[in-house]
Amino acid sequence: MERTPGEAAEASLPLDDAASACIAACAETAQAVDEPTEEPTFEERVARVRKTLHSRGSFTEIMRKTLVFCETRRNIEDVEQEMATYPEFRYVDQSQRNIVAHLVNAGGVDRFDLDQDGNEVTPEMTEGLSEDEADELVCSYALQTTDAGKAAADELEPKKRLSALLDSIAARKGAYLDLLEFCREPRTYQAVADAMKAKGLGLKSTNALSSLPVHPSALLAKLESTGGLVWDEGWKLTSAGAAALKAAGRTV
Amino acid sequence: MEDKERTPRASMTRRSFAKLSALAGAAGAVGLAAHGSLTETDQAFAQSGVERVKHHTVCHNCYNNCPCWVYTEDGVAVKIEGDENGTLSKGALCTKALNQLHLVYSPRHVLHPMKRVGERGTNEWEAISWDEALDLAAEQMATAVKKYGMYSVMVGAGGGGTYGNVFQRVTQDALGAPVCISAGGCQCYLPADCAGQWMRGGSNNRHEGNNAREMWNAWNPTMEAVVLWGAQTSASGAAYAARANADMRERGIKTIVVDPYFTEEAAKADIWLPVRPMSDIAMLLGWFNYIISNNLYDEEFCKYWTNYPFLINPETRLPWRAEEVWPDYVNPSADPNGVYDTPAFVCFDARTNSIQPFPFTLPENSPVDPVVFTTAVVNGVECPTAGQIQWQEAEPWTLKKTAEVTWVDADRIEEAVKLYATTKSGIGTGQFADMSELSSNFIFGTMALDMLCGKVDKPGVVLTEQKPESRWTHRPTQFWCTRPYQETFGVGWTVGLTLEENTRRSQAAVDAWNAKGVDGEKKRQDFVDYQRARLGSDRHKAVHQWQLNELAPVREALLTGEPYKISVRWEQVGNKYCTMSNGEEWNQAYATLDYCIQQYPMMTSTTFEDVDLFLPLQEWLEFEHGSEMVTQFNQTFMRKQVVHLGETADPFIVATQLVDRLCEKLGGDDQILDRDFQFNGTYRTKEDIYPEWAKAFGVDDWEEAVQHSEDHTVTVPIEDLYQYYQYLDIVDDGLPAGFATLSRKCEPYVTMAVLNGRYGFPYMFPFTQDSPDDYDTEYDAVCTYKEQSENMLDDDPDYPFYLTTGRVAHYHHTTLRNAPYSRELMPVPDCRINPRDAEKLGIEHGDWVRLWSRRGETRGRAYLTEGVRPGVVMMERFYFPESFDETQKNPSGGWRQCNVNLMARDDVVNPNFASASWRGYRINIEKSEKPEGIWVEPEEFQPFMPTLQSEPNTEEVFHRA
Repeated sequence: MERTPGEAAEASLPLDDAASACIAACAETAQAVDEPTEEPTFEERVARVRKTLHSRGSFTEIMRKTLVFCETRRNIEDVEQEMATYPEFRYVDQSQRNIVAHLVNAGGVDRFDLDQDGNEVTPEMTEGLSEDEADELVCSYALQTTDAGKAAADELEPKKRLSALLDSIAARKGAYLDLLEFCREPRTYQAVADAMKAKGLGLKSTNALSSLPVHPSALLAKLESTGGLVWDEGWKLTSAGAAALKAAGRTV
Repeated sequence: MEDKERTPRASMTRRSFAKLSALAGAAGAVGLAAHGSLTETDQAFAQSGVERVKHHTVCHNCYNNCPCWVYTEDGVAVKIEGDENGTLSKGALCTKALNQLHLVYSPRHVLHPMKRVGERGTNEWEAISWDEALDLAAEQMATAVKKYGMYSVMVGAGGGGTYGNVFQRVTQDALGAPVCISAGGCQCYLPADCAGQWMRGGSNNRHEGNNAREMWNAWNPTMEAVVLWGAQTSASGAAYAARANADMRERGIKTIVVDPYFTEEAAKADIWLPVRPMSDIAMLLGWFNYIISNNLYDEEFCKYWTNYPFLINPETRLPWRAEEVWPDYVNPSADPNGVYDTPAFVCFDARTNSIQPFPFTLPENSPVDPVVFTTAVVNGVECPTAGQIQWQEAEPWTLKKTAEVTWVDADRIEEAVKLYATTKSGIGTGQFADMSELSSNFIFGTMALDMLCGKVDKPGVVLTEQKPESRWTHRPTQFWCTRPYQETFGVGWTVGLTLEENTRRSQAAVDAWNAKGVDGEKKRQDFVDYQRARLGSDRHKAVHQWQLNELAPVREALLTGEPYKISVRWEQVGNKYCTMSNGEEWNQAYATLDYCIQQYPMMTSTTFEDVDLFLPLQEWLEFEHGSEMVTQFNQTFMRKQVVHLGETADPFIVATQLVDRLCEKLGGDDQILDRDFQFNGTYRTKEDIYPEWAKAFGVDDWEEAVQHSEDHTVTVPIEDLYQYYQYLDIVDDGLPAGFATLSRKCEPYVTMAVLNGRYGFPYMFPFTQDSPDDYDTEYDAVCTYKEQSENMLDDDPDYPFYLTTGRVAHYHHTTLRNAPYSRELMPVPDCRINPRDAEKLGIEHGDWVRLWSRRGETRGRAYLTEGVRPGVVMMERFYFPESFDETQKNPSGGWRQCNVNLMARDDVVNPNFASASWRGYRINIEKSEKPEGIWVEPEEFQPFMPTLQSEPNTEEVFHRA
């Protein structure tokens, strides 16, 4: 499951006709729809990045961290190595390069093609070359987060979001802090559930269409999505989570 | 017959296809593009001879299972024709069946597991092996379970009769994963299934679902008239039901059709009642009123074989039991062994002019002459009979008022109800009301009307059981489904057994777990906790009948992450964006999911939008089976695998193999609720299931026998098929069998609905399910007047039109939209509108129109017809165009442009069944333009033309261990 840099699984597509037909079916359609008729505004560009960040639950935090990492221009190999260190990355099924490609397509990251000396391949350099010759010039590429990408990533900044979560429903704040505190040591889901059951929480759900009380998984997922906890073969407190605990006067 | 011969290869031209379709299809349902859309093509004859083989199998493009012959040439399926020995289809096939040649060889038929490599919303995939696919799916599910618990995995199904639904039910039970959604289910057939079991302990009156079929008895005709209420049978089963209905009419059976739209059935009806859409409950109550007022009901049957004479305690809304009134009463019909339940109730006795115990006996042995419509004082309380409660609901509905509310002429209503009440007849219903808030009111009302008139289990009625096994030797019993919840988990109530016996059985299940070294009490508690965790089931407790969830709370759970996190979705579906309302919100909701797995034969716009892993299933020409969708009327066929392409798989095996992998990832079978429960309907390999199928067909070796499948059709002789008066059989307790209900009688007063709403009974026993403090779960026990929240009676100038939906013969549910010839015939949604309305709006036949409701908008083409009344618009349900290929600029495949359900609603649902309103709401309409990217012209469907004929036939995946 875990991949190393260079082991990217980009769609080389050694497929039969049927598969190829499926692939071809819409590969260009999204691009077509994304083709702007006018230059998009900054807000529109941020919205496009936001959409990609939230298109798949398990990718959000990986993409956010990647955007932050690429605020400084990075070679793809460095990005791959960095992404491989994210606990979230070991549980997803796409390669670093694929995930980065989503960000590039969304306008969250700019891609700069590099030649064998690490210099940027400019349009002037490819002028007069065939497509194959131009491709051969490109040996690697670098990435840098765009202003829209930075803005979208900032919206997800853990400290900000965690603080907002803790303050969102007063009755839950204690439960959230207890969970963060409990996960100072890595915890299984069952351990968390047992601990919550022992405390006898019966928090009302914000899902107005259900009378079921909030289950532990709902609280864990919210702390995860705001960067307070991370799943790494167990629920673990993050640095943002630790900071939140400290700010609340709890033991870290 | 393995009829091999060498003949020139034949091909089917567009014109010959259309000709066949027209012959088989129902009249009047051809869409706008039929004129001038057919292109003459040359027949392509091969230069050399080919090996031609004739195979027998059974169609699977809807639930009618028409037997057919399939010809292959050098292994390529080239022709399908009907089997003239089909009891009712008699050799007919419809467009849906004929399209299989294109579906199985469609470029959209995916032959290998596909993993998404692009962003969701694009169509970039990588083909992977089954081993990789199962491993990946299991890994993602296992991660979700480790992080968030088992409730984080949701399953789902769709496609109705096309692909088996049992997989998701037993899979969720095996896992203990409560979230299961189906765009049908609560909106399709679940209400009828419940009503049949709750009210008479057997089948129901659904004509579209083939329960109601006495009218098709051509061998010993019994019926004089039939009411087809909201049943578009000819559209739903063109080769089978349409043919049988035509034969029925030819035999002289009069038909009364109640439908707001001029359906194929209405066109041929003796009496058509074009009701105001969704005013059916008023019409039903008008019929109750007329029949009771004019003494046209069957008093004897009501007295002794229904619960209408039972006095109802107004405080509990339950029938008084004799022991509650007379504590020392000894019920002469009670089972001395305490196993079978035959309760005695309380009635008002005409002989003694007093309330008396009413034990269960043959009518001639009854100690009382019960009064059906009255009130009496019981324990100091004025109590109505159940019949009186129904009468109170019906009393205001005179013919005059009924006519005013339903917009049908009073004389015509009277003509219809008299014909119904005075002939051998019954009511056959359609699915229409299931897709509305009125689902319980309608099904309870139609079933109860037949009971009121004694139209039960006798020649000439709809409510009969057509199977030899419907005869009992002991007090009839029934459990709500065929799966062993009570035996396995100790949860659920078997109707017909006593409290003591149900308790004993529950404890036996606990003891069985204990004997295996598992804490049985905990297992039982885990199971009932899982049941209660179904979203929406606290308000709508009959969703447990099919282990479903109400739709809106699931969507809200995805969006809010509460009450529990849902992380992985695993569904066998076509295109749910079009079969459910609120498509845009679902799109946002699914984006919260960490992983989405879809299994289906072809990709749809749902795949494109949010699926991460696609598992390819078989089309029916590839699908071998011995029990799934193989029975038509009295014939059960072997489903033979005629061709097999690539690595397409059997859906039941995929489910089992994936759960196997999940257990491995989680560290063992004991990490899920009950691994073995999976096998109540699924199997690991074909080899595993062959012995069971062989037994069912009485052969030694399935694999050998299926090669000559036409020789092994199991046929129930017609003389054994028709069974009547089962309830009068004297069984082993010396009493008449009665019915498999709580009272052992028909229950037009639906006691089970009261108990269900209050306690979650029978699904939760020995536990109960509480109701929310702010929601009333005191469900109606009789047919009660209701209107849709958005109806035509209210003045609504912003939305002056009313939307109803219906079926067309070209498509079944969301399937077949990738069938090029059907798409040529009906490429885009027709909006059937009255010419007077069209004139006012400046709309001409064939114009594109925009329609919008308070929730969303869509587009279609105007089809001007007097078949709908002014103010009404009718569209096909579930419509979506599925128009995408590399030339398209529209990435949605059309679900955002042409999708009637974008206007539908699921925020107000039926109390019992959580049925959402896929029809019956206010809209507006105006002339518009064709949406970009929607295909209309024949040549535009070229990307769907078959291309895979050169694929070799391969051995089925997971055939052998």
